[in-house]
Amino acid sequence: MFDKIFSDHMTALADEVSSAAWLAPAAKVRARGDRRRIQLTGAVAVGAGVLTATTGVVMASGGPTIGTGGPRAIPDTLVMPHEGDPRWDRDDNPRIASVFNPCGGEDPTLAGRTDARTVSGVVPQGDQDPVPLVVTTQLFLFRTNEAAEAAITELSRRSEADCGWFGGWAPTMGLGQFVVLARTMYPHEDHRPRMAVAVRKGNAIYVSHIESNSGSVLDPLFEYEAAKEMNRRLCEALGLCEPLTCYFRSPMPGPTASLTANPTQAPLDHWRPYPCDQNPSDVASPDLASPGPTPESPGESRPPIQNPRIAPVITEVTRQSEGVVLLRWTSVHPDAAYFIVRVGGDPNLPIASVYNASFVVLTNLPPLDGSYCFQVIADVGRERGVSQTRCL
Amino acid sequence: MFGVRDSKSFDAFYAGTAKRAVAYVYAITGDLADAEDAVAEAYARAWQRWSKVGAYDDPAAWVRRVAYRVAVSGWRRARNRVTAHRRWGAGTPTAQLNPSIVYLVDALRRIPAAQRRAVVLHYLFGLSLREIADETDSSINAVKQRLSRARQSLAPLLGAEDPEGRLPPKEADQHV
Repeated sequence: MFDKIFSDHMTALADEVSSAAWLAPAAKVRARGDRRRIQLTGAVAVGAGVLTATTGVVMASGGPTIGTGGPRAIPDTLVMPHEGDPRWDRDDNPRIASVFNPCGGEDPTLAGRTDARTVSGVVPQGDQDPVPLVVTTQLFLFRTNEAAEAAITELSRRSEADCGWFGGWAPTMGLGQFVVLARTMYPHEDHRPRMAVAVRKGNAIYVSHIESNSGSVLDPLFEYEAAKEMNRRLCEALGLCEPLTCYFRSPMPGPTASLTANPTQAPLDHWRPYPCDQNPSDVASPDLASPGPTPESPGESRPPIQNPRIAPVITEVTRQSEGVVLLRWTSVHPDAAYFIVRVGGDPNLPIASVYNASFVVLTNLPPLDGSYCFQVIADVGRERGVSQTRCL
Repeated sequence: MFGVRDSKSFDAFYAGTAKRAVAYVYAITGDLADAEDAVAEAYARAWQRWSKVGAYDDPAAWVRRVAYRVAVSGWRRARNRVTAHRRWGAGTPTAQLNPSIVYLVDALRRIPAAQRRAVVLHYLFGLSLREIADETDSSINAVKQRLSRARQSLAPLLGAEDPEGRLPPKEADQHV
């Protein structure tokens, strides 16, 4: 009897999953197998950053960590993603212009550069758009770590400079600490959307730039997997290894001791590190849910100003599966950071934080006896708005 | 049938087997996004070797084994969360699973992984003890024991707490 009943249950499961599951078209799966360059997409999209309750894209560390020096020339043992693929070109011009240069003007990656390699080609977008994307990947080496940092900092600054690009620092992508993600704003004057990610490891900067000739909307992290692979190759071939640290955005300037090891990391001082295998809420943070002024913490001289006008409105709380909840809310400000607090949990600690986003997928939530209830707290400058509580 | 790397045969194979493979991995992991991505990865690998895999008696079994390994990889699980986010970010609606299904999967997650894998292969795909043993690199006796213990564990779990009340609590039989 059990056999029959359980078989029925499993059949129902298969039917249910068949309806709910999303499967890539077969052609896309074949393309994935052919290229071994998985079109992993999403994650912390520009303008839709997502950090889950246990976020942290864990990457294998190993090998030496990045020191103050570094290689000056790109060895032949380093093979860039796509290098050698049919119809992909390689250019070893050490003074080639960076394909990612928001605002144009002087190329910020030329100062202190000692070597470069460029690999470019086209890749299919899949079934949805027959026009291929133009992908350019570049690796720059600099005389010093500081020169590389200055270059990527300038790329980030220009990404935020309202000159047709939108983006900036994106350390939650799981690619490392010094990561810039940017895309051109819509609508595009030339109908050619572009997107780029730049990653700095030691004295190296890796750039991946994607351009669409069809005007289609670009997947934010079309080359994410290639970028991760490049991280691994930089470690293996150049010794530029960096144990991965995960980050969440600090609600306000606060203690950032771990980041101050390098005094030139000021652009990232709103991002707080936490071990990738821990929940960010395990990292001490100021009281977020309290409606009144919060106690001062080291580095914080003034309490936030409560402003109900910037309180988000939670529009959706949906349980996706066991321990997985989708939360959506109204955006209150383009520069807002949002902190998700589980009501009934530790009221002082957010379970997730996102920047400039209007949704989050919370995963690995613990089993609950009752309902899941949440608040979303918007943080804009020194003002804070707390949403009404919404429960499942 | 599948002796050459023929995209049409692969596409037909994919269309005919992929959703059930997702159901299998979902039943194992309890995470639909994980399951979808693990299955896609497994089929991508199958396509890479399609001239060989396609010639197997049961290429679906090969895909299931690969998808299982992929799904239980911690690295991939972390990455798959990202994939799920992309889906939400793109605004593609994903149907919410029936609570009774979620409940069933939750019950499955409470039993050891080896038992869970055996019981899902047995009841979802109707595999025999030998077939399960082959697929899980186990002995037949080990599979028999896992199935028996899984039944003992699942019957009260589902019977006592099944919101639909469809599973009586003491229906577990001991034979395989």
